[in-house]
Amino acid sequence: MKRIMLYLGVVAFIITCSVQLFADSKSDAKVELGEARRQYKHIKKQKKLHPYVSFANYSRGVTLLEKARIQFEEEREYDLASYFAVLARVEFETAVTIARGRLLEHKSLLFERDYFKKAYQDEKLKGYFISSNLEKTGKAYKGYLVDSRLFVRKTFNLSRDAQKRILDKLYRVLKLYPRSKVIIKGHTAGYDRNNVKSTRKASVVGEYLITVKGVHSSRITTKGLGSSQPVRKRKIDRVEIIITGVTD
Amino acid sequence: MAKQLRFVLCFVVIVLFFSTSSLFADKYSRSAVQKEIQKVEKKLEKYSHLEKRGMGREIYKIEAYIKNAKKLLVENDRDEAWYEIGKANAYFKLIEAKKYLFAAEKKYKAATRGK
Repeated sequence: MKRIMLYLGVVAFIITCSVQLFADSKSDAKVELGEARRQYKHIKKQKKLHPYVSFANYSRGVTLLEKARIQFEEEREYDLASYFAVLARVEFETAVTIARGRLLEHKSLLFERDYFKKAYQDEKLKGYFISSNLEKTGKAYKGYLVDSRLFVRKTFNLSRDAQKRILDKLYRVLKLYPRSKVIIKGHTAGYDRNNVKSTRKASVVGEYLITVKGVHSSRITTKGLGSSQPVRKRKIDRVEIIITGVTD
Repeated sequence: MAKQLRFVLCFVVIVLFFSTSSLFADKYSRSAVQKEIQKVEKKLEKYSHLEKRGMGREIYKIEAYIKNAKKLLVENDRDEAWYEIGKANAYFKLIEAKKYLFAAEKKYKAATRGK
């Protein structure tokens, strides 16, 4: 009887230990599997990162997660399940980390591209203004073009030179900055009855931009001011150009 | 009856003993596991300086897994030791990914600074 009790005691002790061991490894594996699944769901939710996720890491993670599930639910190899689950979680974390890095790299490239694009536009703009004799005055660009540079002698027809060198560049400025507007003012040195001549001069320039270059008429304003506004007390036959709204 | 009962109980004891002990043939040999542990430790030395650069968690995990693996090897649980060291090895991948992320963050800050 005593021997039987002794054997039973030993058996009970061993059973208790082995059950405890199994329970420990099963609960560890369950925790790791849960973590791996959480990481997997996390990637699925991060739609912003999807285009940048490393497919190699992600697919390896999915394969390992499936292996972990099989080992846990079917084979009941909890140590192996825990191993695969940890590997799967690390693959998913790696995929997300790489995706975040790629997203930042892409943002840097876009930023630099926009920055240099703007810088290039600014340089181009400066070039146009210099060649068009326009200067920045406050928020607008102003300048004037004397009749001898704009029109064929004693007519109101635009010279080829004026078209190519000056007005085409003016058009490019308007194209670069779609929100900009231009005010064209005609001036005369001598008396201009009812501002007819000065208005005609401004209209010719305006019409060229509208009909030949295709600038919308709402962006162009023309005016004839006769000889009412001399330049430094000097009356000059000229066309004044003011460009406003040169911003992004 | 008593003899039969004794026999059955001994049989049960033996079976349970073998199922919980590591005398069943393990897949991995002791030398293979030790070699793997040494490899991972050597690799960890190269990355230990990154502990203070935002990768402390990963370094800590690797060290914990190495410690576990050594403990399991002493207890002759070779397979479990192998799995532990495998987990440690996996974390190096994550460290490399974080290094890449930090470099990308630095580049982004440099690109956007003062512009």
